[in-house]
Amino acid sequence: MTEIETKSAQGQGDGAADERIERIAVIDYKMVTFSLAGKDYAIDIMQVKEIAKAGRFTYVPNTSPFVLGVYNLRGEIIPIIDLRIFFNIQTKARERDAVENLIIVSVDDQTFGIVVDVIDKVVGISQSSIQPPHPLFGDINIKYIHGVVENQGRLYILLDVERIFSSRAKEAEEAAARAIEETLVTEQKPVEAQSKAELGLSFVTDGLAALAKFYVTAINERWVGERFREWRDARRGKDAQLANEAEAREFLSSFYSPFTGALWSDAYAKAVMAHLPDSNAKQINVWDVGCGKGHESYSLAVVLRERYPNARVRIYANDSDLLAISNAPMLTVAEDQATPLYKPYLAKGTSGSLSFSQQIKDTILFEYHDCTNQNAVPNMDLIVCRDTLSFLNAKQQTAVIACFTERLKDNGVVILGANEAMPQRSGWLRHVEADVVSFSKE
Amino acid sequence: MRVEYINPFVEAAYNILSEVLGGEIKRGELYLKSSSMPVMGVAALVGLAGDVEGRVIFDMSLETAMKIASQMNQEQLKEFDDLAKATITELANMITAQAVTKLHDLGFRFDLTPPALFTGQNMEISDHEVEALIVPMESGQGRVEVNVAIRDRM
Repeated sequence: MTEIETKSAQGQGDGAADERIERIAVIDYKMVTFSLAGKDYAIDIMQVKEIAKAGRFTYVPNTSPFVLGVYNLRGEIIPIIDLRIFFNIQTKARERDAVENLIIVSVDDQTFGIVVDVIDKVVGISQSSIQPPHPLFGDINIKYIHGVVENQGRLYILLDVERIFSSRAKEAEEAAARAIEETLVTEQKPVEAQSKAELGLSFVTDGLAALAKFYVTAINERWVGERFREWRDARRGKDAQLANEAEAREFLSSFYSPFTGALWSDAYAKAVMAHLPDSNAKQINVWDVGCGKGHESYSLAVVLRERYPNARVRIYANDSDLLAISNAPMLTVAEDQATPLYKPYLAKGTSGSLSFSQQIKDTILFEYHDCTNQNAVPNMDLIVCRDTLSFLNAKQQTAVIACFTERLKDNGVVILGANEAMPQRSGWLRHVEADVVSFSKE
Repeated sequence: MRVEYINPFVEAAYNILSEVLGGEIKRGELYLKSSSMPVMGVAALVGLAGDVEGRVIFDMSLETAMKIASQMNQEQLKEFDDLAKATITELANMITAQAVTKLHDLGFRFDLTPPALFTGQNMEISDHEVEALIVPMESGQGRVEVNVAIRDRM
């Protein structure tokens, strides 16, 4: 309460002293008085069930901060509320075994315990002497105040217990709404507070989406951030923005995984092999999403053949680029690409060019398919999706990853592009071995 | 859709349409469409079964269907009667049969069902868990879309 308030109230009291004494003579309202942070408050005695001293309340997780916990009052479990916290009054640090003063109130058949500093006494007054609260009250929210009563030179703030407790649910709702609002605000804030560099990055992000259909999300933001700094330094002074498709392509030039559009080297194949789980299954299903011209699928077929010689391997290779995938079943291999790994699986065709043997070809099913549409594939032991997710928008990425989660067997493995990663804390475990990163279900 | 299946359908549609309509046929850009799609007005559906499961739909507007039927019968048809319907059904049969023959030569075995013809306004066809390959064909009589939705039996 402000000082002015007190003075004016007292002044009024002095002026009408006689009248007041007369009024108090008719006692029709009793209240329990107590103090919070040195100020006097009161509660209608009809709502007070009893007064108690207790401590060591049982903490209940995930409640509002003003709920101290629950207390066993002769077999009845009641919630304990700290009015000081409820009204945002500063409190002393609570001692571990301190015994608190409790006013047990009952509102609508519900019993609550209120923790206060000191319980004073019971004061009898005349109901007509209760004055409505003045809007200037600062300490506590005015809507919880029933009125102000003066008694023997002391002013009591009469609390509206019903309002306080029936509003608890409302308060929680409001808090939730506020929290949502706050997160929205914090989401916007960074935009305002963005430094020039970050603004530049966001322009590049937009540029990549518009010019190269490359969408920056949790999957690749790390690489984009690093690449942007590198890009900016390389263009020293010049505008770091992406002006056309060629520049977007240049920006992405270092994004692609090793051996994109080519057969994997023996070393890379070995690195991938190290990630494949042991399996005695007769049938190994592999989903190669975004297989392009098919090099990746053939490399995979050979790797899997070596890794699981006794299993029947089935690779479902998809791509939504019709031109690229059309020629995949007839892929030819240049002489110099026929490394020791691939040699046993290559055969010379009628035209004299090398291509994979029928045995390898039969393991791969090339499909013209857009993975953002419905995916009718069996459950998979391995999903290879290198540099494909980044070219889907955020919503599609989420849908495709959800599909991976659904389709991947529990011991299965997902391999993404070299500069891609599953979003953190999304249920995927990350394994790094020999420059290849794979993900498995948690 | 399996890559090997695409060309037979595109070629068959091109060959048959050029043959029966006699004009220049232009093939549009191929694309994929997810399951649900509106039908222009007249749709002939041929089911496939065997190594694969699925169906082929030949979709065109009523006006195009009338023109094609008139051209194929060498007379000006006035309404979309039994003769016109039988003609469009036959066209669907011819194209699908040729595609299946080509696929047969490649080692894929499947049978077709007799064509069914659908006509009406505001129709939509939905297939569960199959995406469709759309082969748009532009003829002198109008646009015919060949909609192929087949998948390998698992």
